[in-house]
Amino acid sequence: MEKILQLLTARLERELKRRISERVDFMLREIAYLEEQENADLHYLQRRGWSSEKLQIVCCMNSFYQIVLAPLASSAREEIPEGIGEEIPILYGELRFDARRAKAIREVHTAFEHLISRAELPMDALTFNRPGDFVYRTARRLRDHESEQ
Amino acid sequence: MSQNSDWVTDVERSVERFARKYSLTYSRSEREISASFEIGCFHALVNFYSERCKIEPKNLRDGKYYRYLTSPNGNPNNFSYVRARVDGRGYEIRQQVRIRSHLADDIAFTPDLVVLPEDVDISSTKDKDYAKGKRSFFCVSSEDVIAAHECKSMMPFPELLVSFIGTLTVAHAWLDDPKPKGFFGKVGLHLAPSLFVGGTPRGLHVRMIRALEKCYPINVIVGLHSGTWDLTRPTRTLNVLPPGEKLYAWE
Repeated sequence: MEKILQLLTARLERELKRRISERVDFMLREIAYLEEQENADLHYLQRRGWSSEKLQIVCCMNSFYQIVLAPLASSAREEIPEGIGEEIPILYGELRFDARRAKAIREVHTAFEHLISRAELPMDALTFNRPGDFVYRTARRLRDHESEQ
Repeated sequence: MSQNSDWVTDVERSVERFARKYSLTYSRSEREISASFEIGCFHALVNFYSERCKIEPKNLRDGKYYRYLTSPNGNPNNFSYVRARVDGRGYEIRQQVRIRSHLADDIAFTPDLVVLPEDVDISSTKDKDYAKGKRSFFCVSSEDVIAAHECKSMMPFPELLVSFIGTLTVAHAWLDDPKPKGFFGKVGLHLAPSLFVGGTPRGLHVRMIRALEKCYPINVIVGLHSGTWDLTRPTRTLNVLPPGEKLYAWE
């Protein structure tokens, strides 16, 4: 987990690194609490290959996505009205939001989604609020899947 | 090697490749990341109006650059905005315009986005308590505000949701009108004052948001980091305000 966090955040500003680390720490404490409480969903996942390390990596990915990538991609969506921010560049102080920037950010966003997909993680790994919610939903999905078979 | 450590090794390699290829692109300043989210909300709002009005970016620099006002220190008249016109009425979608409250002159604050009637008066005064009286204090009156919107690129939590009621009461004089609260609903022109939130809500938050949206003419638009940007999709039930009833200040 440390390696992944380090790789993703190496070039980020100190404050962003701090925010990501804090969020990851908070999530790890919640996972530790679930373990302490012998949470049934967590145990169910662990028996099916969701090790603590895997969950920790999910927390890193989630925090990086929520704090850096998703807000960055917000201004680079496909449906930009009247070309404001693409054909009509936005000058935001010294920052410039234009078509070139939007294209580059979209490429990063897509690549990260592919990374998640290749790792066979569900997309809500990137968007959950608290790890307990993710553990609950993932366990429910697995149970549903198993009961269908 | 166990299946789990294979997975970890694979993911580490993927992340390494991703970071090597893209870290220069995504390693932006905190200011840029925050600006990017705010611009995303601005786009969503303009898209909402584009379904109902004719939209036109105005006051472009050199006729081709949208000059975004980034703080209340700037004179809004020198920055770009979006004009929305429908049925002979015009509105302006602006950023970072300070609002002076109808509750008291000394209550003033700056929401991220604001919708105003076209050509509303933006006052400019000097105040010894503001920049030692050297710079102008620009603001509009809350009597003229149709809707003020806030953007928060963070996870929703109860205190954040409740604090938006402050924005609602301070920035919208029309809220004091004695007309029953049924004046807002699901059919209308303007997006009711809205709190745009990046993060995904938990179950209790969802219930709280529904309750707040029933009690007040507001929207709490959550999950934007998961891609819920389209405010016009049919399944989205938003509170909206009518275009012009007599009681409203912008009529």
